[in-house]
Amino acid sequence: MTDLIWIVARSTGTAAIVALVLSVLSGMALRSGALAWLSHNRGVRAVHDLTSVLWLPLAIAHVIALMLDPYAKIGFADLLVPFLVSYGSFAIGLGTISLQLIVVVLISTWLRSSLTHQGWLAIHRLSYVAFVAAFAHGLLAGTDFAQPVLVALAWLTATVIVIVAFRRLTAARGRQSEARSKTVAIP
Amino acid sequence: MAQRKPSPLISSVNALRGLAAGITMLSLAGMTVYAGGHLRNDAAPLQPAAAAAAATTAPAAATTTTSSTGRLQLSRTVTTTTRARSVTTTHHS
Repeated sequence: MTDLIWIVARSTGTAAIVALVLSVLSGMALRSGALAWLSHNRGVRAVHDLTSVLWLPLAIAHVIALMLDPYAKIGFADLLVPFLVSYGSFAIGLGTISLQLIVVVLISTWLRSSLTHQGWLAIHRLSYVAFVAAFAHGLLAGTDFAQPVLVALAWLTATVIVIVAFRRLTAARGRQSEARSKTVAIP
Repeated sequence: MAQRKPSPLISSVNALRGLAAGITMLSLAGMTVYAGGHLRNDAAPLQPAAAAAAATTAPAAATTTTSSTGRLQLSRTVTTTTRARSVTTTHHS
C-alpha cells in the first residue's frame, strides 16, 4: 500500500507539471499568436481552460498522497505554511507556494465577473510566479527529475516557454507603439 | 493583394482538447509505470529523513547460535531511525 501511495505521489506530481506547462503555454499563446500554426485562438483558449482545470485534481492527488506517505512526512500545516518540512524545506516550500498561488489564480478566474479587469489581470499574472516555483520544485524535489531524459525534457519545455513569453512581450510592445502612433496621427 | 493566412494544423476544438488531455494522461500513465518499476532512486535530490537514516544504518543481520542448554538462539539487529539495538530471542522447541 505504501508503495502504491509513493507511485501515485510521483506520477501525479509529474502529470500536474505537464498540465501546468500546457496551461501556461496556451495562456501565453492566446495574445501572441505563438500557436497560430497549431490552431486558431478558440482552440488555444479551450486548451488553456481544460488544462487549468485538469491541473487541480492532479495537484490535490499529489498532495494527499504525500500526506499519506509515511516517509515523506508532509503534514497539513505544510500546506498552509511553506518551508516547515524538516528536510528539503526550500524545495518542498516552493511546491507549497506554487500550489497556493495557482489556487488563488483559479478562484479569481471563477470570480472574474465580480472583479475589475485590472484586478483580475494582476492576480492572473501570479501564475507566472507559480509556474517558476512549481518548475523549481520539480527540479529540486522531484524523485524522477534526476533522470537525464526527464531533465532534458523539462529544460526543453522551459526554453519553449521563455521563447513564447518573449514573443508575447514583443507583440504587446508592438501593439502599444501602434496605438501610440495612431493617437499622434489624429489632428 | 492581401495574403491568405495558412489554415492551422488542427481546426477542431475537441481534437485539440483531446490532444492536451491525452498528453497529460500519457504522462500520468507513463510515470505510474516507470515509478512502479523504479520505486527507489538513490540519485533523487531529496531523501526523506526516515528513509535516509534507514539507508545509512547497517541492514538487519540475523545470526543463529546454539546455547549451552541446547536451545536455538536467533540474534538480529533491529534498525530504528535513531540507533540500532540488538534483540535476542530464544527459540523454544
